Amino acid sequence: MTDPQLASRPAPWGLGRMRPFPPAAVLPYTEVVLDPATQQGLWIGPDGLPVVDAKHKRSETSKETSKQTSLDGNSDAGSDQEGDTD
Amino acid sequence: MSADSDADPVLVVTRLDDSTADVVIAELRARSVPVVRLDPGDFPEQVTLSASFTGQGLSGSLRTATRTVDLDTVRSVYWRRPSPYSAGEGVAGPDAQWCAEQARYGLGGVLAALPGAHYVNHPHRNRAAERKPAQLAAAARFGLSVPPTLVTNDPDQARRFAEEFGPVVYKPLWNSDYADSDGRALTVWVEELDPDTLDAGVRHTAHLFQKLVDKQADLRVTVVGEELFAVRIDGAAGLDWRRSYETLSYTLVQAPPDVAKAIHGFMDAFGLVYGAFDFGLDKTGRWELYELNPNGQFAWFPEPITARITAAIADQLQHGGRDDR
Repeated sequence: MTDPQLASRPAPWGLGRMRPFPPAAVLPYTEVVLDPATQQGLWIGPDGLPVVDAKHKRSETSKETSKQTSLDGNSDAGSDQEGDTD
Repeated sequence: MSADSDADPVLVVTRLDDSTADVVIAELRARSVPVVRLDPGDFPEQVTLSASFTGQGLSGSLRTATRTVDLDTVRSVYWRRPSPYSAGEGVAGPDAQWCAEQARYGLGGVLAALPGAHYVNHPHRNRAAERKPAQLAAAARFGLSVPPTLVTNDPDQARRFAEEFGPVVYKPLWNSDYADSDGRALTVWVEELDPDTLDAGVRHTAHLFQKLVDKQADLRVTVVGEELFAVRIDGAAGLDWRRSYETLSYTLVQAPPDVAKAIHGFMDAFGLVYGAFDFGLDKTGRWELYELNPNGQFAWFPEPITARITAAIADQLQHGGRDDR
């Protein structure tokens, strides 16, 4: 039941505007664990020790940061919309 | 409600990797305010919910891997970036989807109905406020200036709009995760568009086109209750400041009184305690609203600005709900 006009239509226009994130450095941590006492995330480095200054990526969740593998950048500091918002 | 309200916790709803939430939690700890952190994505494996409803209302408990909280003692809720609802281990496919939706309406429903809790923000208010058409319509109602904007799936209308208002930009109506066939994450940056590229592909879905603001700088206004932090952002390499953080500089500025008043009206209309508004400052000095991020980030600002916003949020979480209790 394919509409021939639809099939021959170019790709969704907005998708053609998609671009990669700026290239950047490698993440300095490998995982985050919950500190039961403080209820804060503990950022663990590749050496298995906590990363002292996690400020470099305060703007984002690591998911967003890892998209561009950046130390301090982010996909969108203000308007990232993903996952479950409610 | 507990007898000792100082012992009533703030519930922080977010995923584990959220360093912005960490900053706020640290501030609350410094004030000796108890905090319980919860990621709804940890339900049902690591989170146990038991909520009772009687003539007295909602009561019961919520147990995380590290804390237990009585539902009727939560003083406030900081709603950040929860990870997606999920099913228990060993459940897959449509069954898992069914479980996740039950979790959304069950656990999520309880989290949205905590008696007497002060929400920053209430998740349903976030939901309602994050749609751009609602924002643009409300902006006009409150007297905020917005660039002429068209939402359409009609290529002819899009071309006509570009002819009339060009140069124009395209913005997605929602930023969803998207990756190319190599798994590389992609996103849409704000860039001027060439009207000749507007083809039948526009027909596939809703597209948002907007007149380009001839801007001298960008503005990010972070609102926390009655407090308003307007930051001028200079040094963007292109149209989209998010693309070049390392070149940006930030200056706290005073929002014009009419803009501040409109923003507060906007916040009230959407029932928001927190909000981050993006404006362009045009060459004539006019503030042109781009969008509102009801759950926008703030901790990437320079420390003095972040510290003030953090304190304002902590004030809300510590004291905000007391009058209602």
